[in-house]
Amino acid sequence: MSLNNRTRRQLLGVQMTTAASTSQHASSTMMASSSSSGSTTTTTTSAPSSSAVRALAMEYKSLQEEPVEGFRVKLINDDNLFEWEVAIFGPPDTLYQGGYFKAHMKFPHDYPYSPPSIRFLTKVWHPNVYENGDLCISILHPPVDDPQSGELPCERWNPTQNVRTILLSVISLLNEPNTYSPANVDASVMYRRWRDSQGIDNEYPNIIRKQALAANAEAKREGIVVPMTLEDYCLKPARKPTTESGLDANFYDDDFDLETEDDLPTDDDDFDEDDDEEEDEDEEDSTSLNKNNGSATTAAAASSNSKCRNNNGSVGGVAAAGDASAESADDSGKGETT
Amino acid sequence: MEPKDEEIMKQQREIEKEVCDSTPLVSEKISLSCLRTEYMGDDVFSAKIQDLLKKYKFIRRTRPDGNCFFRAFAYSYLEYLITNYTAYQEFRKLAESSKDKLVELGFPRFTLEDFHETFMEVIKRVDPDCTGAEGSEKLQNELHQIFNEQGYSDYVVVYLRLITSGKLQEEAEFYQNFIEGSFTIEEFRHQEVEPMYKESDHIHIIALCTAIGAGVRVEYLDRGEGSTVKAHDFPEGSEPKVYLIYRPGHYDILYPN
Repeated sequence: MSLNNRTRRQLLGVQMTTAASTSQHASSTMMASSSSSGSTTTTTTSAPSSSAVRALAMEYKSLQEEPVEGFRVKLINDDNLFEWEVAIFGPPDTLYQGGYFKAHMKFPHDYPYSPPSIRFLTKVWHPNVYENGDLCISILHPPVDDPQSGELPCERWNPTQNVRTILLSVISLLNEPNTYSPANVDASVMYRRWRDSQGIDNEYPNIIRKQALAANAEAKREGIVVPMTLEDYCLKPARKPTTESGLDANFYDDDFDLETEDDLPTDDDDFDEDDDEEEDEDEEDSTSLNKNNGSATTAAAASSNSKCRNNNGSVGGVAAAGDASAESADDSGKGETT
Repeated sequence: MEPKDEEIMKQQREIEKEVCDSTPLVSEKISLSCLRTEYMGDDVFSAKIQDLLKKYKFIRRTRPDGNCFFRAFAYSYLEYLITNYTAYQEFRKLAESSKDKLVELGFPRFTLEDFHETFMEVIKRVDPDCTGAEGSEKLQNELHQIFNEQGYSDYVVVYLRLITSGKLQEEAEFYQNFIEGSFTIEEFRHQEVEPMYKESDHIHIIALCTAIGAGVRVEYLDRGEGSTVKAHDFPEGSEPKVYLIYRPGHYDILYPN
């Protein structure tokens, strides 16, 4: 570990000195410094935002090497570590299956002391997403004394939170909205109606599925393969980003095995017809894959697994999913969500 | 629409920026008598400053950014450790092993490691054993420089906040007694201890001092009764290694005669 850290530090040392004004690609800067690791540049911090640049470079690199399942991140502009584009694949066996949601993530200059913000570019009907796409999730809120917010203070931002923990919170929020402080009241009311009717009132899931479908169509137009099974969803890119691939490569196009094409719905397909046969295998695979990823990921994946288990095998997948997330939403109301 | 925390924060940031441009993170040592001019015409404070001057000669100001206690504590304690090799070594061991404890408490390893690593780097850079005869003055300069580099200085603050939070968690039952209102320890840690810029109260001081095993004496320069400054030792009965002056809302470092 210490060797890793030292190398990482060296990368960042060089990165920091150049990031502010360089026209070079951030990736090549990082990579170049790694190959010349014999140099004695270690830590030279002084600029006010040096912590931010350092933390972001470190996180970005780590997410390229070991992505969070279901997410892809890239810099909007290679020269600017403070604005990221995030692509979220809807988790299989949820309402969001097949969906491909794009968002922008903006980091403040005093990151990691203050949280980033996230805005969806794809339309998302969700109790915690504002009309303009701004995501409202407590982990992204600075701790201000605000008893009115209805949020659990324990979920707030602190400097040890990072993009990885945020993304995991986002994926869990998708299926377990927080209805205590809705950003979209209509969506919240609709969601609760669906939940409280045990899935009989299905206006909410219908809208979500429609949006996921539309997003899937959009993804296709862009040539992006959206993972449709848990196995593919949890699959890590086999190749490690090497010298040139880091930031420049179009990371959307080849991370997933082409076999998944078979599972893709066409625009008028029903989502719920496949993956029943292989459910056990899927679960096993995803669990073992997740182990590499630290406990938080495992926990998140485990919870999504358990939901999948509830859904698998049921023809009316939507109603079952409704029960599952209704249950967990109730749980989350009582205490901590994670 | 809920009230926008971000807007409040933005305004706060602007004020902080002003403070930031006008005050260094940690100042040079200044004669304590400078407080006399600051409170000229204020009888209560003037009498108390007179009292304080009997015991202390210098003050070192810290930037009032909500992190002042942690920054002042770290600076002052390391200043002491530079001159006491045995204590330095003990502290270094404690600091080294603190990381695993915090990981166990559930902090994300990836980021925690980074904070810890920087914290250790700072400690190593003021190792009293590594300097020759001219030793302590050189280390003193090094320390001062490190603490005025935002990157290092703030990472030290973050790490001390995490140690404090960890201690609160470890002895939650005990510390729960100190918490006002309906906060649970868990909420208090996440809301009042771990985030940057959050001001420190007695509970922070007690938890940190206990966790690190360092005695702190705080002199309270306030509008309380009498013409003497009241002092308080944390943890109670300990021998102070760090001396701080508290004026409502702010901590600076003191140097006894």
